[in-house]
Amino acid sequence: MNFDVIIIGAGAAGNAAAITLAKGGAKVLQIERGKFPGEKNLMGGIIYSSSLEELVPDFWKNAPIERPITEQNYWVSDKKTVTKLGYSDDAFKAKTEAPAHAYTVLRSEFDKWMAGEAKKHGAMLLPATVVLDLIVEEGKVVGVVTDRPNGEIRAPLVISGEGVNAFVSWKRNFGNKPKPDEVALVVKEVIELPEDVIEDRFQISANEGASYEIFGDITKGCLGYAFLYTNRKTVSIGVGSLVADFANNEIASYELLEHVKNHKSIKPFLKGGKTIEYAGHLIPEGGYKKLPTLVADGFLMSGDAALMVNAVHREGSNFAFVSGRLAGEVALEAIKNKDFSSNFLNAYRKKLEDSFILKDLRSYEDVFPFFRKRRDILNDYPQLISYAAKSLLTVDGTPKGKKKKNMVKGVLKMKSPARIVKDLYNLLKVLGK
Amino acid sequence: MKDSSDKKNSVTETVSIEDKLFTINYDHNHETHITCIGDPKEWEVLNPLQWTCPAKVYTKNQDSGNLDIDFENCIECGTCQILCPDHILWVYPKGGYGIRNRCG
Repeated sequence: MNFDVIIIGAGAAGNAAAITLAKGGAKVLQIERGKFPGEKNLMGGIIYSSSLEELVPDFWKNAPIERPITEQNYWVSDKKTVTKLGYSDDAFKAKTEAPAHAYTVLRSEFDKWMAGEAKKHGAMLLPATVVLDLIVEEGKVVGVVTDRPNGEIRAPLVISGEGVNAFVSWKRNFGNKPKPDEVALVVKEVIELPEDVIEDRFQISANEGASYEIFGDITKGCLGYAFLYTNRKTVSIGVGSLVADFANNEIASYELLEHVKNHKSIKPFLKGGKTIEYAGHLIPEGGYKKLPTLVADGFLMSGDAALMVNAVHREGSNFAFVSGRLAGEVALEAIKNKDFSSNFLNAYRKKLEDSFILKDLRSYEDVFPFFRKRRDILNDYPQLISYAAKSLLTVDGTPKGKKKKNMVKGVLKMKSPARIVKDLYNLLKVLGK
Repeated sequence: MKDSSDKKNSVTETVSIEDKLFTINYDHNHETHITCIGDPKEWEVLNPLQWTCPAKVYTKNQDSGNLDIDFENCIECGTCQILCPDHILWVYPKGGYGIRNRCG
């Protein structure tokens, strides 16, 4: 059988490319190492409707989505205190004939559904198969080597949607294995609770859901955060940090997850729940500075394999959907023109540059290096916020004027004004790019 | 030398990693996909694997002093080959085998 394109992986990026190509009439072969798409995949996880609607316009009518995210909470934890900020908005809700802004999903079911959409349009799926290498002839990628007997499969174009462990791309020097401080390890549990209990505890209705991201002391000095998301009949709770931080701080991720689950503000949400699955996954956080090749003769890279993640904003699935779609669109043009040269395929890079993908990655390129260098900011400022809140909110007979003065004095004792101004300036500089 | 029991930061652990791993679906073909390609006694490098691997695949064998690899616990994240690229060769299990997430 002849194929126009081989796609490595049936995750978010691979499925987006497969749907785009199959819809456009291309002969697509998608290769997935799981017995079914989704069973190797994991995320927090939240999908954003805008990026999925472009692929499957009515996805919200049939896709296995869990709950709309209508309320987003950000907590800053110090040793014994928590400062909470939340944003709830009806605009995030689903409307008649329009999806909600974002949904929680569980990837095992979700990816199976999405790969099914590609199949519906004619893509062929080869499951339970690991791609071991690319076939490269005269400098051009012309197919893949799989772990099947006589496992060579040829096509003039290969799209990598391999995910964070992009072994095939690394083998051919299209990108490098990340360093321990360029990749985050996330561990997660899915905890079962009755639907009405979830709705009571999180103060949401049947068509609402909430997300919590918790920063500060909760990660025990590791650069990262904990999260708690509502699904339909389960909640997802997890924590992530750089692999280097778990290693250097001598903290086991699964023990940190227990610490998160037992945190006084989180424990009541989970009470009586039953963990139905534990899992772990890596997130590539190298960002713009570490971007791989993206384009070569007969080859395109998308999703996590191409480091398309904005970890600061927990965005990854939308980067994968959009980069997979753009790779698919360029591939369709290449098939039409019978031109698979890197020169022609460079249109993919151009499309990425015109989209939010490379714009966001570029504007955040200094944020991670900044926090990696200045881990103290994530330790000291939560303390400062906690101190300020406590000073202002404690009623003990001290006049408010004096309280405010004391608070400012106390804060400045913890950090000099010059230091605070400098930190703020540096933070705004990297964030404001 | 530190193993996972004498590392300096111990946080509350109410559910053990063994219990967590018990919730995972695996389909094993009993062929290892993890090889130690460096010196299995080079603990300066290998030590952090003992607490950084989220499935506790790696432990120091107290009798031999070698690295024990419990590959059937592996949850296929790839942390080990990021942390010890010159010592751990970690590849995907044969197609169709290994973890099978029901939720993901």
